Amino acid sequence: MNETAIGLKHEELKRAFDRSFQEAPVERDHELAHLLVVRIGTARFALRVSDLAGLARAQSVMAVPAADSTLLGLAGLKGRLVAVYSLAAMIGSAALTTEPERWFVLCRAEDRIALAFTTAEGTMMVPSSELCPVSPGAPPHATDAIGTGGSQLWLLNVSSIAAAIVQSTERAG
Amino acid sequence: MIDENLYQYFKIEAREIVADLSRDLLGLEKGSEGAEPIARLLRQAHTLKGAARVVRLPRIAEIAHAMEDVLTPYRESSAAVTKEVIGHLLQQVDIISSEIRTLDPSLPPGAEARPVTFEPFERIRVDLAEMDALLSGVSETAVQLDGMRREIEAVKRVEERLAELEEQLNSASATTPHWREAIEEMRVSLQHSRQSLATRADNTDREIAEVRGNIDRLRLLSASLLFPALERAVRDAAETLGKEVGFETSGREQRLESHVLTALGEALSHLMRNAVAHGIESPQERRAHGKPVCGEIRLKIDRHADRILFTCSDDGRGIDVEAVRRAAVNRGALSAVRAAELPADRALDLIFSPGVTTSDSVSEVAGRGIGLDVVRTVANRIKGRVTVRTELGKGTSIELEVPLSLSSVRAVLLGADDILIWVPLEAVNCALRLDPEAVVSLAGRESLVFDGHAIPFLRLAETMRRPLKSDADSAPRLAAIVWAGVDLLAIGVDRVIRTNEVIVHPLPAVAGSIPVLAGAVFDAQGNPQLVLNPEALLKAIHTVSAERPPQRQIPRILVIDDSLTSRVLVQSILETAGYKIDLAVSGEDAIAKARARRYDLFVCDVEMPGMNGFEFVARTREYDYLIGIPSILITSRAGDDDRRRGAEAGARAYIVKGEFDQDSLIETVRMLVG
Repeated sequence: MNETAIGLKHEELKRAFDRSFQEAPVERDHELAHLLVVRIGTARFALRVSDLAGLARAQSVMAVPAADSTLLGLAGLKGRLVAVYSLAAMIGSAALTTEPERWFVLCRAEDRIALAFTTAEGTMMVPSSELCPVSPGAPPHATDAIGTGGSQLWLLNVSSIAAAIVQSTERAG
Repeated sequence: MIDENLYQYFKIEAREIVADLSRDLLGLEKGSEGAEPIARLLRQAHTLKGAARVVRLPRIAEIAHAMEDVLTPYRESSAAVTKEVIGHLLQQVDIISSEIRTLDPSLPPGAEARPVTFEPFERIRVDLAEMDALLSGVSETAVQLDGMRREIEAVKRVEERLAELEEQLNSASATTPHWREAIEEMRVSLQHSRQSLATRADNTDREIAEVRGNIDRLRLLSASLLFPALERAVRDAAETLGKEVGFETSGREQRLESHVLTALGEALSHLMRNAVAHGIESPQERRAHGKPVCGEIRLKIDRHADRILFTCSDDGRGIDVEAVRRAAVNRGALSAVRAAELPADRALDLIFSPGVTTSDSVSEVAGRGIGLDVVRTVANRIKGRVTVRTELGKGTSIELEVPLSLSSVRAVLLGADDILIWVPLEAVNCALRLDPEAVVSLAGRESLVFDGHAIPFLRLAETMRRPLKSDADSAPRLAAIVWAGVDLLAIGVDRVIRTNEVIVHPLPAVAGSIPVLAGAVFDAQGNPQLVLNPEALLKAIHTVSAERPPQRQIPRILVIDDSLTSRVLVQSILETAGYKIDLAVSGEDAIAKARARRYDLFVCDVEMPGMNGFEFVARTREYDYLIGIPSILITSRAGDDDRRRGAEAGARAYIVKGEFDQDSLIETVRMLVG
């Protein structure tokens, strides 16, 4: 891209930015759910971005001598210790994958809990009207289903998973 | 209008001067002599006066000026400052403290500042030496990075050289012989750069880890910051009640996080006042009981793994448990029947209940039954624990144990395979080279004989609940002998890596309870390494042993035969059957070998030069170290007399070579040693 083209693009972006302040807010006929799509083995799940305090590529996870098999270990994130739990194990789907869980999200409700999964695929905006109630047989902590058939995703409630972990550690503690 | 920032700075400086004034006045009262303490007090009062004038706080300036007036005559005089004068000056210091607290913007105008003993430790003062260490670490990291940049330049030059070479090879001059030299030059250069970059990366790692540790350490405050105010609490309480009390402290080297220190300051000052009011007797009473007139209160601070223990003890009258029961019943805390049923230690715990006091009167120091209630409340707030021990006529000791959120500890890093773990150095007794044979099975658990005692032995992998590797290469080469409370245990490791001062972070509560870990340390990359809690590990060992199927100890057999062929034949049969075999060429050789090592079985030829098989077996019933070890005789003598002689000597089986078959030998051996 030459200097002239860059200048034109810059001007276009500047105008668009200014216009966004000048124009009346667009009326939305439906709310959008901002979701993070993650993969566990070959299965895909969605998490609400508003439930998350962060997304990170898994550093080295130090295994600990804990009785709870869902606890993968400890990791350091920005100078804090976080407990890394297997998302697959938490939703009773540990059998879905033998691949290493290389990514994790931090729970907003309890930011010392990290949930690890195979990979993060990206984010998506979905109209709330497209979220369907879960059918029997949905994994634990699934609140909604998105899409149908082979492309169906389960929307997982991260806060509920964090609450289950806290409850379990308090009971054991 | 004074700038709020200026007040902020004044408050910091004034609080420090007040702490120094208190400390030096108490020192003077204890007998500090010479002109220096007076000169120092004058300097402090003068500095405070000047600073107070700058921020237009005339009341503080006037009090400081008045203190100077009181102290000045003593500067040139040899007269000692009297106790009354010191008392008066300490009161002035209290008034200044009160004035400083009214500067707190959170207080409504005209409100009285709450009289608190402890100011929250919200700011830290950093020693220049600590800051220098931090800067030096950062500078060293920068040096390493500079070196890396130079190496990157060198790699760049190699790339340029490579481009030149490529050009040459593409041109007609490709036939020239210089390309070999050029490639060699590049090879050497790249090798040098790689090694240099690797070394510098390691150095940078180390430096960053050091800087990180130093920064963490700056967050911790010395426990000694509590001492001046506590000493003052003891002194004031003693003066009010007309008692003589000495105050001793130990453990000033312990460092704690500020919120723990602030909370404990309040609790400990209550303990001190209670000790003076209820523990230490009046001078007359002490004299009557043959005790020194001056009572003694000690505050001892110790660290145990991830907890810190404050022990406040006095040599006073002790606590009358029956009086505590009565006080609790009078207060309505429980029924008389229930109080009578309580065991003594539980009854003693009632002193921490609100309103329970054994004191007949209420003084301005204690007696309302509030102080110890506060101690328990504070302990609960910071997830601590309070315990009390007492002996009538001898004294009382109250322990306040609190978990540490961050602590600085000297520790040693141990490794086995890919497992690394830090062990607090104070818990390490020694490390020794491990003879695998010294590990024995006792009551289904592996033990190591150390210093004449069998102590529990665990491989590092077991402490971390990792699967054990069975190959010989992964067998531990060293044993770290570690104190677990008053007991010892041995941990099998491959290597002792280094010792360091490390900052231990608590495990997040959401990781659940993992008692064998005291916390975690961050490495240079910010990844956690675990810190062992040996005491908890020892407690867990019984569980670990119960969970682990007992490992079969492979019996070790000594084969004794003067014939090489027979020896090797028996050896191969028994080794194939899974036994460990040693060989001896004679009875005498066997005795010497059995003295050095414990065997499970002897398989012995009868006809040998020197000591024959019958004699050898007979000896096994005579020597302490051989008693109980079964023997099998293998011989070509098939006569009944020989069999009887063998039985009389003590052989458990008699195998005739002519009847010999492998299966019967193995079956006999299994019958005897499993």
